[in-house]
Amino acid sequence: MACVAEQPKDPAAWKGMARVSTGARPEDLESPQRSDLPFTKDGHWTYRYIRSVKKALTGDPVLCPFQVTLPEPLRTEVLDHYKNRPRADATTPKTGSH
Amino acid sequence: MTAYSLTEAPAGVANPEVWTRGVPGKVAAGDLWLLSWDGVGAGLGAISARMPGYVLVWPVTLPSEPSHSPALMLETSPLGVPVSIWPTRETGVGDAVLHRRLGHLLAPRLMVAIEDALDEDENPPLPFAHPASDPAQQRVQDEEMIDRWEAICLTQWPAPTATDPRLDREAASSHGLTPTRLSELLKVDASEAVALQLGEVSLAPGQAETIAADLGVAVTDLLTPTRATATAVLLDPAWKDHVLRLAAHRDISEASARDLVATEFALAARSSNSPADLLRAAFARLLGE
Repeated sequence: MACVAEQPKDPAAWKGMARVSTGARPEDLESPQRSDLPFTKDGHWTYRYIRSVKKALTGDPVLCPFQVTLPEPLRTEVLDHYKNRPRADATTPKTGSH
Repeated sequence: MTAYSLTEAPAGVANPEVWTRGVPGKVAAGDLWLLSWDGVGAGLGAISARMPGYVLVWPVTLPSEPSHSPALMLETSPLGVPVSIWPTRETGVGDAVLHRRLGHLLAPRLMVAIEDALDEDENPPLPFAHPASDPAQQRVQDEEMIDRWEAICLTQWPAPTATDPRLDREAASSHGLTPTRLSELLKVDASEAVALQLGEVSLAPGQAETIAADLGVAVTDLLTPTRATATAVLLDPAWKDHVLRLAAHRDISEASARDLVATEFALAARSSNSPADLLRAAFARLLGE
């Protein structure tokens, strides 16, 4: 799960976008296996499992352990994928670095 | 929050008939939906984006439920009461969870403006709910809400890994496949090869690829599309009531009822009728009607 929006107005939750290794969808962002990151299988970043993650538990070594800061250019690619998600008015939103 | 009833509007809802009957319409951004799984109302959501097979939604809560900042207040809704919307808690939700459309809630342009403002840490074009008077109670309510919406997000049908590939008997024959060749290729006995050739049993992982490579055709040229068709049609919320009726009739879970219908459809699908007609017939058979 990558934090894609810190949600400063929300004291309880940030928004996460999941990386999945099964059930890829055409709109997902491909994410190959990488030995330098905790990506042991080929996978995809998907909008399907966007959801809230509790800020209070973030970093808890058991319940929500911190894994890694995504290195560039992957970090920007993942955040841009989130920002480019289809939106209510069917427009493509702004892109750019987070 | 306690679970919503699917047949009775929550106390205080001014337009109970909207809750119980719904407002017909396609799945579209800006609309308010009642979500359910296994016959239980799981939540209310405003669709923020329509995707193939799922939606992104903003949780919505009623005046009878806890509300506090960062929820935004919306004075009018199809239910005839003000509602709280929670854009910071946007969640991906599978189509199978969509139960009933309750009407139009938010203009898509307004939703985008809200999203942009929150992304930039600016004030959105709707007012925030008041902060909770009891921070400890707010924390408990927030945790409960986040847990509940995580469960909604992770409710998935069909299962992402669920596959039931079967050979299309006519396609297999037309490409020159025989049970004898199948037996050699897959190292299975003659009776299993016949069952595979006739599409009576599922192929194991990798078998379709082996056969396709031997015949020099694409995997999709060999497989029956019927189960996939049934799955796609069943995701339409128009079938939700049928699914729940079957689940209650057989005393099985909603996922099991959906699997049962998809299998029944696949076994009997060779017909010129439309997928909707075939699905209706599958439900009738399973319900003994």
